[in-house]
Amino acid sequence: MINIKNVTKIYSKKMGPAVDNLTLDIMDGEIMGLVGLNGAGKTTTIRMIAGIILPTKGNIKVDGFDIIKDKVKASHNIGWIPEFPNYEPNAKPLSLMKYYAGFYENNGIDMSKRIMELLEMVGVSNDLNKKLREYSQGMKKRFAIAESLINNPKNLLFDETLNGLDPEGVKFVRNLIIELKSKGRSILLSSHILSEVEALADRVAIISHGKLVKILTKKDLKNLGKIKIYIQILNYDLNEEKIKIILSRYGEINKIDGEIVLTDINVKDDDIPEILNELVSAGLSVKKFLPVGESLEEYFFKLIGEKNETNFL
Amino acid sequence: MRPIFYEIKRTLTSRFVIILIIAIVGLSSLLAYENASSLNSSNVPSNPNVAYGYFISNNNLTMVGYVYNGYGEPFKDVRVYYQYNGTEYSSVSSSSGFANVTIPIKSSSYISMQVNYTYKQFGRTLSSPVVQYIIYGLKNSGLEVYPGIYNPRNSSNLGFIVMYIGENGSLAPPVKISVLGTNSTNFSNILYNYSLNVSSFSVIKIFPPMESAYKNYTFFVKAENIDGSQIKIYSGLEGGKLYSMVPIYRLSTYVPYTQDSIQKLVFSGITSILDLFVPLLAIFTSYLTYGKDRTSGVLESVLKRPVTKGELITTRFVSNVIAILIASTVAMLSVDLIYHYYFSIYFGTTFFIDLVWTYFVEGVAFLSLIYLISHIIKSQGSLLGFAIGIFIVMDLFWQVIPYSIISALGISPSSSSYVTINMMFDYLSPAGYSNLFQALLTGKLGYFGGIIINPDFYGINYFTLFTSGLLWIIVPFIIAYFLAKIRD
Repeated sequence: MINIKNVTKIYSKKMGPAVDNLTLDIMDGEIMGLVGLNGAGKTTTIRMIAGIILPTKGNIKVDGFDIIKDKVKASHNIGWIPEFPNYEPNAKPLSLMKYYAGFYENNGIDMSKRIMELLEMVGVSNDLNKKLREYSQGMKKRFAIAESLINNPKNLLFDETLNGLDPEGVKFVRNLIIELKSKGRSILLSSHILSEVEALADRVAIISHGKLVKILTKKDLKNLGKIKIYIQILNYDLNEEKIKIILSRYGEINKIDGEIVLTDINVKDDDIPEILNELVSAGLSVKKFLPVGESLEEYFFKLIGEKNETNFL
Repeated sequence: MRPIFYEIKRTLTSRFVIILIIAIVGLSSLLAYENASSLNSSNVPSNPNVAYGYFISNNNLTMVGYVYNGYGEPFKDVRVYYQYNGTEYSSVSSSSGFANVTIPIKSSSYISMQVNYTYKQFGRTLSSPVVQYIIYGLKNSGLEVYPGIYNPRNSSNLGFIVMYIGENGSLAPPVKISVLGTNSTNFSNILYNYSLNVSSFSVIKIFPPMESAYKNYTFFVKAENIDGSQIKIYSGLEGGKLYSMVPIYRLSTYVPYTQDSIQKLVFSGITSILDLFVPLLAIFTSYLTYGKDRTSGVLESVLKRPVTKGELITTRFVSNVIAILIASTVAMLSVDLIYHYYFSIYFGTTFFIDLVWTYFVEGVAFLSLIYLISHIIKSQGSLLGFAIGIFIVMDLFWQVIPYSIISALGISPSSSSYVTINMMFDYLSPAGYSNLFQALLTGKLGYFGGIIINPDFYGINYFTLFTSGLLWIIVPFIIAYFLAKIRD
């Protein structure tokens, strides 16, 4: 569990705070998405949790241990996969892993075996004789995942981890995150691929200019903004009038690519199934009836008031 | 693997550290060897000498001249002149060292021969003094002894050449050569006796084994046939007389080295090597293993582990300190062993510790400085620039700076201000620390060791040096340590 309380980070007095009075809790077994524009403070937040940089104000606790005052105990249970992993260029993966393992109590675990298992798991076991400077960014990221899991930490920080990975890597990380969650790990996932965050996260924290703007729950994510219903009915042309009469009572009918999209729906979310009932009762063959909320991306831009996608990390 | 062992292994196996340690140990050893071997051989003469002999056959006198160098080895291209009855004969020594001439003679009862030789050295033609070689009634010179050659294996030990010219130039029969030594003028008080059986030679070099106990003895040579009968030793240069025993004087030029002379030797060159390379090792090792990692973000991959920033900087610092300690200790041990080989004296314990401490302080102080700067400068390029700048200004040219200032201010080298400014600069950079120790141990201050001072008068003593050394090590590192803890 990670508890961030009233944390502020000011790099320079000339500039505003990079993180401003942020309070956020990431519970055990929870995936917390962290989204925001470039410079919103996502990486700064993660680096503070990892104990790399110091908060100007506030405190961060990892499993109850303060990351500043109890750094050693707190760091025992953190795994951080940075966006751009950076290692001793001349080191070889195995010796570096052994070095990193030396910082942890092994509790009777055969560390050499565990290291090999991790390196095999992330798919770099065939490149153990290479120096890390010879690794591609994707391979470094895979190695970063392995070295971050060396102590089987209870809390994991994924900072744009999917960035730079091939599709197989993305799938691997996605499955890994789900597996870690199932094992009760608390996970903070920062990614600019909002669809991934939306798909994986139990909650999503949106931050802007260092401030927490909103936290969305899983339910919120499903029902972001106004719902649209995508409807496909067999023999539409023969029943067009009947369909329009029914649906026009519930909202505005749009036809996009041969599909009806019902917008500006005037019934409560819980009453939406009644629309389907009415269509079926009228003897219509409904092929598709899909109520969809706004995507996180759409919602995010609306919330932040920023529509330039290229500004994302 | 415990992290500290990894750090130590990483530091000691880095290519830069290996090369620098090899350079430090290798160059200081090489200089020690050069100093010791050249001092050891400096008394060996470079000019040739000639051993003379002769035989007479059918009214022809053959003068045999063996030209040899300081070690008794053949010396070629030396022209040897033999003047007889107003006529000059000459011959040039071959690669075997012989320069012989055959001279027609009317009578063999008494011949006085003027001999000398010329040789070239650095383009100049040099000539030996003319000496007289007397032939008095014998058909051949037989056995002659020429002392004063140096043992190439240990040039503080002397030896002698035995030359035998038999009838018609024949080689020597079996001969027992004895070297007798005494520490008094009394021949009956022979305390050293060394015998050697030799045969079939015209020239032979003999270097009697010599223990230090006999280094001040006076030695003589006598020769016997194999049946024990005495062989008289001829000396053409001593009036053509036969001797039953000839003096070869001392067989050792050994002068024992003292701690004082060894210290002077160390400060005459080896310290310059260490003054250059130990700071180089310190500055760039600390940059490569800490500063660069810190500014490039590599350190973050370690810092996310259960380790505090304070612990991390300390372990890296300790691993770097070990590299400095190894370099300075191994270099000093190597120099000590080389000097012992040549001078049979080890460094005194205090002097050895002083030297290791001096370069330990010098190196670790530069380490501390780079650790400190690593927490002030954020960019890797700027840090490297600063590291190079520190090496150039605070080490490479540090000794030149006070002289420039002194010259610019017109301060007299004989004034106390001159000494004070020199001393002040030595305190202002770790590179000056060895100068201060040199001043303490030898009483000479300044890079060129030119100013003779009373170190105590200027406050240079063990207490001030130890304190300043500790401050140089601790202060920059403590600041770096706290900056590491309180800054990102």
